[in-house]
Amino acid sequence: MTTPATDTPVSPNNEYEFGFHDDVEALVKLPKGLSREVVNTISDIKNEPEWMRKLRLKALEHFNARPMPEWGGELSDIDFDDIHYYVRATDRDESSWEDVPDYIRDTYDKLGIPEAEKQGLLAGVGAQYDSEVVYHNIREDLEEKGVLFLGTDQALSEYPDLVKEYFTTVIPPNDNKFAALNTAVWSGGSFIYVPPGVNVDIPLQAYFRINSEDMGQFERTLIIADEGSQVHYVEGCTAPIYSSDSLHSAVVEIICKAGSNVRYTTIQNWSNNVYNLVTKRATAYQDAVMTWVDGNLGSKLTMKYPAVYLMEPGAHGEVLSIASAGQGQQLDAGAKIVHAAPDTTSVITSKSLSMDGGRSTYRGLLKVYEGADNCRSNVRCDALMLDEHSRSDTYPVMEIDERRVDIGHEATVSKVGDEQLFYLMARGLSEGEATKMIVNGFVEPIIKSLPLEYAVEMNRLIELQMDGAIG
Amino acid sequence: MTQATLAAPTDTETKPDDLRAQVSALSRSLDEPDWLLAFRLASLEQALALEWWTGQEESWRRTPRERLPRRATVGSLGRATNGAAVNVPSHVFAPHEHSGMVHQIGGRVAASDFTDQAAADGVIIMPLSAAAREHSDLVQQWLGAVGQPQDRYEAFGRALWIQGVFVYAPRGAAVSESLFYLITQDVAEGDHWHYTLVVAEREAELSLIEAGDADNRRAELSETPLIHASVELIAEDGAHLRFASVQRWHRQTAAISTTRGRVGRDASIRVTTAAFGADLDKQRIDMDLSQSGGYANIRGLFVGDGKQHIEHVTRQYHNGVGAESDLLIRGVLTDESQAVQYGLIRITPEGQKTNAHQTMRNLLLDDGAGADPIPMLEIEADDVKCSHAAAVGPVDPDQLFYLQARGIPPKVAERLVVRGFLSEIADGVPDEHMREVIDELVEIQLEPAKASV
Repeated sequence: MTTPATDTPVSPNNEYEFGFHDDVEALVKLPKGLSREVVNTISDIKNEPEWMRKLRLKALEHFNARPMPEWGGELSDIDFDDIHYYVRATDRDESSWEDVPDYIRDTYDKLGIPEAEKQGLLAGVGAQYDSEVVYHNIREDLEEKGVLFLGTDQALSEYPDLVKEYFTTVIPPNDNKFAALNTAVWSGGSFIYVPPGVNVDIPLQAYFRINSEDMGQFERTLIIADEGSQVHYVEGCTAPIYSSDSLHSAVVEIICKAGSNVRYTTIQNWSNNVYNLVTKRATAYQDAVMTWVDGNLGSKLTMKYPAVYLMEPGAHGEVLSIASAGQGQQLDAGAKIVHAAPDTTSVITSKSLSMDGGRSTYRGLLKVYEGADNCRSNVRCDALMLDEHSRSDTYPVMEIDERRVDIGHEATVSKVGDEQLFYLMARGLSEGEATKMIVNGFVEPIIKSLPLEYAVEMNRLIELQMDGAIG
Repeated sequence: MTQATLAAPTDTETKPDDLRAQVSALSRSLDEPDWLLAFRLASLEQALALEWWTGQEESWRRTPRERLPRRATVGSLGRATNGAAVNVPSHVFAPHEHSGMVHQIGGRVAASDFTDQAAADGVIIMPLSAAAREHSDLVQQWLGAVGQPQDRYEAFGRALWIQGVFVYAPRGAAVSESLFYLITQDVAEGDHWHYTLVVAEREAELSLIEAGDADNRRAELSETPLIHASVELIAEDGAHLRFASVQRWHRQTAAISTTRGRVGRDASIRVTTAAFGADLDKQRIDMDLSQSGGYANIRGLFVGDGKQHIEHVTRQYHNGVGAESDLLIRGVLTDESQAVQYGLIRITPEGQKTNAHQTMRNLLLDDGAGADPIPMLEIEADDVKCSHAAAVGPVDPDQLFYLQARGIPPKVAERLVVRGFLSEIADGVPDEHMREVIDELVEIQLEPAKASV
């Protein structure tokens, strides 16, 4: 089928560093295409409650009824009949890392996950290999405090009432075409419940990968932070390179109850043939704080706009977004903040890089409903162009229906400054080194909000991409 | 301010063949040259090949569907007296000093003059219809030269106009005082399509002020009148053109305008608009900077009250090296008025060394008011300086406090802050008397005293 995986990082100029892939015999792989039968089969395999089956079928109708979005990127190349909607590589969640099949462990070892966990940096690791969660662990002390961190499928079978109470309450099945698709065929993803007052003091982490060709990945993540709790969830994505395009369409729902503090960090580094069409939304209640840290490096096309709905006074929403688009990439990312209550605040900070013919787009919505007085919002978007072949777009929409507000938006687009380059080169740096240093400074406000090991990885990935672009 | 209840506008469509016949009859009755009839009919075919807006289009999504009619009718010919002077009510914007002026009501010319000096310099300002006869070659050369019509209103605007003005400055001419084009809306007549063509030849300088008023502002109309203004501004290499547009249409009017500027090498176009009247005003302003060293400046001012909807759709199109553009819109919204600013800076790969900026600021004075600023950038060149900023909020409480601490009553203080906020735009209007009128209209729009902060 394909060449054996290689452990040495390949030349950053033209090949994808994490593009190895394993020859996995998928144990269950449904035929290509989408139908009621496929949806029913997924539900049968998972042995789900009847309400979930009905929800899936209803969502399928929404998906079929909705037209493809005509804005954003070029979506017409996606052939929904040419995608496997469910692939399972192992029969059950493994309870310890050693029990995970060797070939899967091998893939994950290359990504360095177990090391990270062994170092005690991460509270729990949920790793998704194609459609099912194969490995989950959570530090015992957190378990004792009642923190739940498990695969969403497992949560549905073990805590059906809890899942049912919150599932689709933030993102309804008919929210958009791709959320409907996800609701119909979702599999895997993380479920997190943090009880009132519990502070999960180190990040929970999951790694997602797409491994089978023509494989859609439709994970579904649900996070409930109960009153006064605190949690940081980290999600990283890498996918091997394939010759035909893959579709990733996830849904992430987060409920931040009164006084809670949730941070959700994504580092997206899908290979350059993946359509990454994701719906992420959080609701934040009284005095809660929700932060999305969204890093987009990979994929052929990303359309992703993490959202925070500020539902009660005192809630704060924040989106830190970074995108770096290289050759053949269109990264259409952004943020959506809805001020639905008075005395709410929000901040959007976006930094984007375009190089080597890549196109990066900031697309955002800031909505203030009438009556949501005394809210404050600041939106800041900066774009850096590294060459004349690339493109940068900014589409910020503001809808302000309340006057007692303080709303500001600013954006700039520029290239690496000649004066800056001259200054650094006069001190003995090469032009390439100087450019990297300037780019590092440009993205630094976002990078510094990442956990340490991610900050290192992020900087390295941007540098790799620049090696390809500026030589 | 209370507002008359509006009858829902109708989207009645005249049959294509009837429109063709009416346009031909219109052209004949205005004694137009053959090329102009051909131009009208070709524009009409372009319009018929296009669709009306549906509200799904990005630049139309925020336009209230029921308040801007989608219809095209040929105005009444019976009232067009083709050049004969008529008596009209005084125009709120009537100028004190000017180099030349055209004043029209319906298709009739109320006044038309210009100074000897202007005439000696070869400057032309006259009704477009007359110009098409008297300066046929010139008008033919420039009419529609800004490019193909981009939507149905613009295409119909080229086919259906009765009023219009032609303003021309030959190579190297510099017109000292502003030229004026006054339009009085004949509210009894219904829809108006008017057409403004301004050409500044190489190294010429001119400034035109276009001002709209209504003959009877108190009339209760049974149907929403539609006014479409086509404005084509051409600044040839090294020319400097200023255009200011001020409107106080009847309050039931649905106004839409299409202003397109073509900026030559090292030339400049400055556009300032101020909106006071109409129920809905949708201004499209498109500046084409395809030559090196061009400069475009767009300034927009408005004071909304009642349920007014005021919308700016702008494009700064940079397709030439080293051009510069700047947009600044400042608006004040009272009562339940709403504003939309949908502005795009587009820089093509050819637009290296572009310097482009846009700023949109909205002051909301009342609870029901709202604003949707949407400043967009599409950039395909790397050696550019480009930025935008947008803001929405109440009057700055610090400024109010400062003024009140000096014994100024709260309402007066608010008024002072608002006037200061708008003055940066009004100062761009190239005529002192006009600036004073704008100041007065700002005051009128803000009366009666609005709810205080």
